[in-house]
Amino acid sequence: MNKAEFRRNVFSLSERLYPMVARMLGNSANAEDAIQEIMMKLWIKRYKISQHPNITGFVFLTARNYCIDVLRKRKKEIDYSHLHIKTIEFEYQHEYLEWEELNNTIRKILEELPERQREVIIMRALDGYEIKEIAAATELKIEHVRVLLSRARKKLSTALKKIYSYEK
Amino acid sequence: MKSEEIEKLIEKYKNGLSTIEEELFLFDHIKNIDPSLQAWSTFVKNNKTEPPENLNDKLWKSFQNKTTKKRRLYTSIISVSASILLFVGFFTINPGQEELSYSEKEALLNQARNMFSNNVQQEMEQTIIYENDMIVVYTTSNY
Repeated sequence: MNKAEFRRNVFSLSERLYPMVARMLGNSANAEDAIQEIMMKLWIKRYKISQHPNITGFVFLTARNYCIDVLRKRKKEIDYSHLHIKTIEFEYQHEYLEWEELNNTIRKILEELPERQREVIIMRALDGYEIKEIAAATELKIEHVRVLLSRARKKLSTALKKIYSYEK
Repeated sequence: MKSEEIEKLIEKYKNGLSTIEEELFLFDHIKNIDPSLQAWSTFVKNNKTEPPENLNDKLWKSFQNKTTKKRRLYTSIISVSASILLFVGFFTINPGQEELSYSEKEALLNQARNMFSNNVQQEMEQTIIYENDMIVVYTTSNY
């Protein structure tokens, strides 16, 4: 794999990696450095990678494993589904309060999901990953990912219905 | 899109069978249809992290610098060590000036002798007194 091929097939995935890396490391400022590190690891392995049947999947897997390693080194509790907290500007205070309430409610529900279900539903919704990409990153089978995703969505929906359906 | 079709899409979504495009569409059209899904779509939209603009190109530039810097570092390490080897080798392996051969010494001696007035000997007349295979005895006198 030469430099141009590496750029096209591997490095171009940087933007796709960004949401997951920023979310897992909990800091957007570190995310760019982390992606550079991930790409350097992949660059060293570029000759092996060119033989890989699923290059994109391998890139996602490498990125996720890298983030898990960083979190371990930080000796913090590993929480794969760490949510990046955004500060959103609201015009009115009540809008902000509503948003904060919704945010906290959903976070709580997500935290109660089994770990794998939580990670899969977040990778899909917040990172925008395809099922096969999630499967490659988590080293699970595609069908298994679908099942986890379906279960998580149903549980989330049931929990949210209890809170929001009366408002209908 | 009719609400029936939306309902179908919701079913597909809950079974994990919808595509990303379908999900984005669903999130945009869920208002007043399914409050729980609407709440989730608001959460997702507000929590999504978008990559900075032109991230790929920006990162590529610094990545390229890093890889070429590394290569440059290797090249300079190799060239510095090669020069050191050459330098050390020059002093240790070089055996020093060789001794002159016999004929060269003679030539050098003759050269030195020519610097002096060499007519002296030629101006001497030699008179041989005795001569055999081994020795020659002669007298000289100056003019």
